[in-house]
Amino acid sequence: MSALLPPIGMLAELTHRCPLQCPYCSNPLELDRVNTELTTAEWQDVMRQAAELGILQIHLSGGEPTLRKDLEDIVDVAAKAGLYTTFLAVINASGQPAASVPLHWSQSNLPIGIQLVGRFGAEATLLRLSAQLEGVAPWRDRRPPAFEKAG
Amino acid sequence: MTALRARAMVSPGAVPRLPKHVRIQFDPVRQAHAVLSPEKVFWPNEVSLDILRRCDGKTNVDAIVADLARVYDAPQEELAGDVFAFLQEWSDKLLVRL
Repeated sequence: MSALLPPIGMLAELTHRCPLQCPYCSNPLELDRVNTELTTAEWQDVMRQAAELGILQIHLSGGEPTLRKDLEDIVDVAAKAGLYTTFLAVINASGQPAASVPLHWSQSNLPIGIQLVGRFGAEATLLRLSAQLEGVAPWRDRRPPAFEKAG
Repeated sequence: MTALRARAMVSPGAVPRLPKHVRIQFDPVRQAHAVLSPEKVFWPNEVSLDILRRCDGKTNVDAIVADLARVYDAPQEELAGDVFAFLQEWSDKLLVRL
């Protein structure tokens, strides 16, 4: 019998923070708070260990992974360790590009995301559409209550 | 990157290359070459690897077939069908650009 090999892919939930409140979100109900997230050095160590184990692909997810200010530092270490990194939203399992834009607002002023999904390779179209939507319904100055409390 | 509107077809003069998001990498743990693409991993056999490694964006399909025929000491006409079919399949999966 051949030895059991390590997994090929690893899903890394870098943060559970997210500016959106998508009703279909599959995240667990009990989310890790920001002060319990792994540090930059810890995530970098995780990436190195994953590569040594035989992980080939890292799927960076969350929450919204781009909320981590050290995202580039983590990705940099992952890339240097030979890992293939992808940013993951649910729809990307099909290989299609997707963008989530906050177009609706709940009564408690929380954004409700609309996910736009494009054809394979149609990233540019999605980005243009997202920019146009932001132009007619800007959300740049809106902050969810949690952000205001955190200052 | 623009949306692909028509199916790219393999031809003798086509110059295949691997797009930026496709990478061939040796995996020391599994002692095999992996082809990595977004959320997909492929494990090509030696013959497939020999074709993929020649998709360098400079060599056309005819020249790839000729080179493989030399390496494998086989008639070009025998190899050509398999190489064309392989490249068409990988092009359809957007793992090879023509």
